[in-house]
Amino acid sequence: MNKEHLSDLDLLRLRFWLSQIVLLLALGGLIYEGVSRSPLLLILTVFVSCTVFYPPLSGIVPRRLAGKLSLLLLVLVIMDFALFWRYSVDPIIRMGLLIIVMRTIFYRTGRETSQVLVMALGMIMLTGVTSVSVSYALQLVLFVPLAMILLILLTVWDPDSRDLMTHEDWKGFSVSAFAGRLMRALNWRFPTMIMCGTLVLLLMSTSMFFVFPRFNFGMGLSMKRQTPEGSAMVGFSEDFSLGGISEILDDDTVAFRVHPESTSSMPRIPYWRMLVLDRYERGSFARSDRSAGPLHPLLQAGSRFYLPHRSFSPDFPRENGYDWTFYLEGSVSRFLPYPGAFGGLRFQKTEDFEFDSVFGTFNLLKIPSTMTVYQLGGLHPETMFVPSVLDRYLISRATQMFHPSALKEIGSLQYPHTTRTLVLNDPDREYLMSQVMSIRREMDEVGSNDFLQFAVAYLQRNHEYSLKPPVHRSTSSDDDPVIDWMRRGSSGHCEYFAAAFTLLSRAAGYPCRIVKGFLGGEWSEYREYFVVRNRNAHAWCEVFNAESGWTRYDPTPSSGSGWSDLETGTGRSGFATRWSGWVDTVRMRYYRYVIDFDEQDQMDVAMIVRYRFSSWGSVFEKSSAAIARWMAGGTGGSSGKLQKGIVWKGVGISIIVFGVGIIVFKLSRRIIRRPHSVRRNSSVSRGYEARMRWKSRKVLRGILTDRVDSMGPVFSQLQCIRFGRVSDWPDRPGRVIRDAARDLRRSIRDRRRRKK
Amino acid sequence: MSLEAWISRMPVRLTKAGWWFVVAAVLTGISAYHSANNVLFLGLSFLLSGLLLNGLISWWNFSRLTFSNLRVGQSRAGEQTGIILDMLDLKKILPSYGLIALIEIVSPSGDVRLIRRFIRRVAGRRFVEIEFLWNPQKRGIHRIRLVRIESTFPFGFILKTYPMKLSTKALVWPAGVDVSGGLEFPSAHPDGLAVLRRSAGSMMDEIEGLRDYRKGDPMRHIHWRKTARTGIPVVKVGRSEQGRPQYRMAFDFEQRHFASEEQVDTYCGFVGSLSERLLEEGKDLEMILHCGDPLRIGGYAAWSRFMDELAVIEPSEESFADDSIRKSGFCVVSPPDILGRTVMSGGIGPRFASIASENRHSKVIR
Repeated sequence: MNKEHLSDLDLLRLRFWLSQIVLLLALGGLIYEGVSRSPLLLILTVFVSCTVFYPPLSGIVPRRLAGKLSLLLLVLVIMDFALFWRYSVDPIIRMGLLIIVMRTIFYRTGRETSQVLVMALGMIMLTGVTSVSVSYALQLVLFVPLAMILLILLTVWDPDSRDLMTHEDWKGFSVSAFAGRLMRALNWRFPTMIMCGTLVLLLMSTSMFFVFPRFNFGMGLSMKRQTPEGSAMVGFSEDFSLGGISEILDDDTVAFRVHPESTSSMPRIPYWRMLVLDRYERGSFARSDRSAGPLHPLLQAGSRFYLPHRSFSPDFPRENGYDWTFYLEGSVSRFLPYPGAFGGLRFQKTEDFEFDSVFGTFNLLKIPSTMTVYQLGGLHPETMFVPSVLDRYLISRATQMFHPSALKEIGSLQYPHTTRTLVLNDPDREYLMSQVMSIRREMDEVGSNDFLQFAVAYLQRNHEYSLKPPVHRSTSSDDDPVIDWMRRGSSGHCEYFAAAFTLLSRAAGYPCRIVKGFLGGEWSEYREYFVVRNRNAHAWCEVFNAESGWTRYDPTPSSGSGWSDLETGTGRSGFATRWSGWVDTVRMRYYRYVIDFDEQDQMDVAMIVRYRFSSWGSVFEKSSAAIARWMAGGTGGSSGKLQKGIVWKGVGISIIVFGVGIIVFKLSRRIIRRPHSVRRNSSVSRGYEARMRWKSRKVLRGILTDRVDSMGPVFSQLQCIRFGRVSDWPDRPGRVIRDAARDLRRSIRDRRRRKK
Repeated sequence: MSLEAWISRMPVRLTKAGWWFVVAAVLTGISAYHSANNVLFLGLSFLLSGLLLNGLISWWNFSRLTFSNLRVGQSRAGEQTGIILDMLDLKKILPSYGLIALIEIVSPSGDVRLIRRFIRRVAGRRFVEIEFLWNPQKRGIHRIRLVRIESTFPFGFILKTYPMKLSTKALVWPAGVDVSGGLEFPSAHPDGLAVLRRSAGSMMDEIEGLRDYRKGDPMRHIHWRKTARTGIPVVKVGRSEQGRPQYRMAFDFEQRHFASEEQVDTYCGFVGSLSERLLEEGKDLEMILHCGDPLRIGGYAAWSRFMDELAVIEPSEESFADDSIRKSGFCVVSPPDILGRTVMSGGIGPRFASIASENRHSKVIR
């Protein structure tokens, strides 16, 4: 089949077209990851997109203006850097965009095309650095083959020929016709070469990435996107008002992932504890400042931390727990989620963090902008840490109720008294007490004394769950919004239920605090990890009990549905197609093995490789020793049987490998020969043809190796036999080859004689 | 050896783009190590892998390439000719791309000229002839050498050079001079300058060989059977028969006549063009170059030998034996006659002298 050949003009067009696609890839990445919101970026992206379909648009500005525009660009860039030097990334992006503008509004030479390629790579790397997103890896994977083709087009272009396009070159151009011509001209060799090149490049760069020695000189180039301190995801800061968490309940992005040892260790309804709030006042929850109090948070800096013994009951099996690895996304919270008591905490790299033994919370000092990886060792899900020594003051059930006018006194209260105080005005207090009495009456009717369970039932009976509770305006500024919500019997989400339960519990004399974190999640069978999304954010309560310490109560209806399965899609939200699970897995692995790869991981990889090699080496040694013994006659008995088994296995594997090798060889020969297939001459058998070609190859090699010059005419005949059609062969190819071989031998002999 | 010369002789060296690429990789590496950012480490590994892959593919691109048989077609000063190089790509799967062959031509005066030829693609298991177009400016023996084959394929970061040692020599005939305007020779004039002999025999009684058809060859000389078989017009070259009109001319190459090398070249060009013209007109010639032996030119093979001599002839210190040559019936042509400074010595005629004068320098075909 005759392939269509691309003309020089086609190659120029292809070069332009590909460079525009590469630019779109880079600019699209900047927009998608939100690295820059510059209007210039949007305009440039639209312009480049238009030039893909209407290329003459690219040469709208005459090239004679290039010098003046370059000067203007230089001035703009200098001014930009002078004015906005503090925001190091933004001026760099703008500079790159301006250079791309310069290279897009004119037709480009080959050298300028390579500049565009460099700028695109720079933009992609900038996107990767600032967004730390997996899309960077995807961009690189797409960029590599496109850049390869583009660079090849540049190097196969005659440096002496015309390099610049004009409007004339685009006359009669249509994308579909051009694409069709490309397809017709496409030879299987070129795409194969590009694919193999891409694969080899990816393999080489992966290997290099793993073996690069990791030193941190610690100069801290400010290339990461700056996250303002203290701005965690809504609902996970140290204080919040009612309704704060509802903003993220529609957010489907991943908050964190958990890699448990096994599914059996995963509780049916996992509660991921993060933040404890003890203060309550008019619908706002806050955390007591404990930095100056007794048992203040333990500041740690390091990669490993073992919890003090006082955090556990004497019978707590610290050594027998599970090891779970957590991958907390950036900008979620500085508080680390965990499902139960554990013995030790290990970070992937050195971190500054605090352990608050009173609240049982762990937090980093800053909200991480990138993924944080940590491992909990000796974990026992569903088990609580023992109460702190401060909690012994909660044994008395005296409830303190304050009028809002006594706010100053409240402010001076310290933990744990904050867990049983109520700041309510008189009508709200009366209403709350009446509800408590109502619950107690119900208890008396059935003869129970479990107030808390009845309080949960009371709330679930009178209120429905809703992510969008109705908004009511309080008649007075002193009115408590939670009491108002209870009065109206409105629907609400977990925060309302937890707040109401807290008020009821405290009114009944039970110390109660609100816990924020996540509930449930989705299990991915695909890679065996647990995904917890922002919509899994939840609030529940912990009530102090003199016997068992802080006990969890979750008054929110439908919170006991358990976790769903990513694979089957049985989850509450309907997430969970196989594809999204796979994408999520890739993303997690990217974070795990690329973004958070460090010296320790390097050592781990090295150990794995060493182990693999040593295991292969031992297998090889055993096999060779067995074969050697078998060859020597064997030793008989069971060991002899074993040796024979190994030998037969080896023989079988060898036969299979040999057979597969022959098949692959034959197939490859067929594939290779196909484009050179020649019309068969019926007078010459296939075997004869092959024999002649093989013989001529030998003689040709000899001529070329020994640099024999005096065989010009014979050389062309031999080439004809080796590569040409059978119909073009000389009459007696065997004789030609024989004579050539004889002449070759003679000339070599003569040369040797002359040398002597 | 200077640093630049040493670098230029390196088989693999970075191009300008390659140096920029390395600078970019170094900057990325510095950023990566200063920020411990794995995204930058990833970028760095991609850049270095690109450089490494460039070297690998470049090596593959050059593997199993064979160059041989550098040869030159018949060439004449001022006329474009071709230098042919045989290339054999023994690779089985992938073709070779973006090769640049460089040929060095050293003229007889020692001027060196480089000719580049870009080869975009050579398919695997193919034999190709690479043609370099060359316009020699001077007559004489030119040394032609295939200096190197180089390529920046695939990414343009590395220039890989493959030094070569193939060389050959090219004999460049003198430039052609326009002698067509009004040259009329007495076809049957027995007196003086030209001696006419007649014969009733055939025009070509003995075939010396075959050659490609040239403009002006008589139709009767075409070898029709060979032409039909090869598809290329071929003419018979025969030994000149007796009795054809014969012009006997002797050319004076005495040193004292020439003021410069260009004059020698022009004179040689005139002699060559004149002989060619006469041969095309079917004249039988007998020529003497200075004091050499008379060379009978009855066909193109003999004329080629005559031109070969003319290509390398140098002015002689030996004085020209004017009288004895005249006595033996030869028309003597001296450089002053041709270069227009003096009157023609033999009396071919004023017309001839004026034409020769006009063609002195400017009409040399360049």
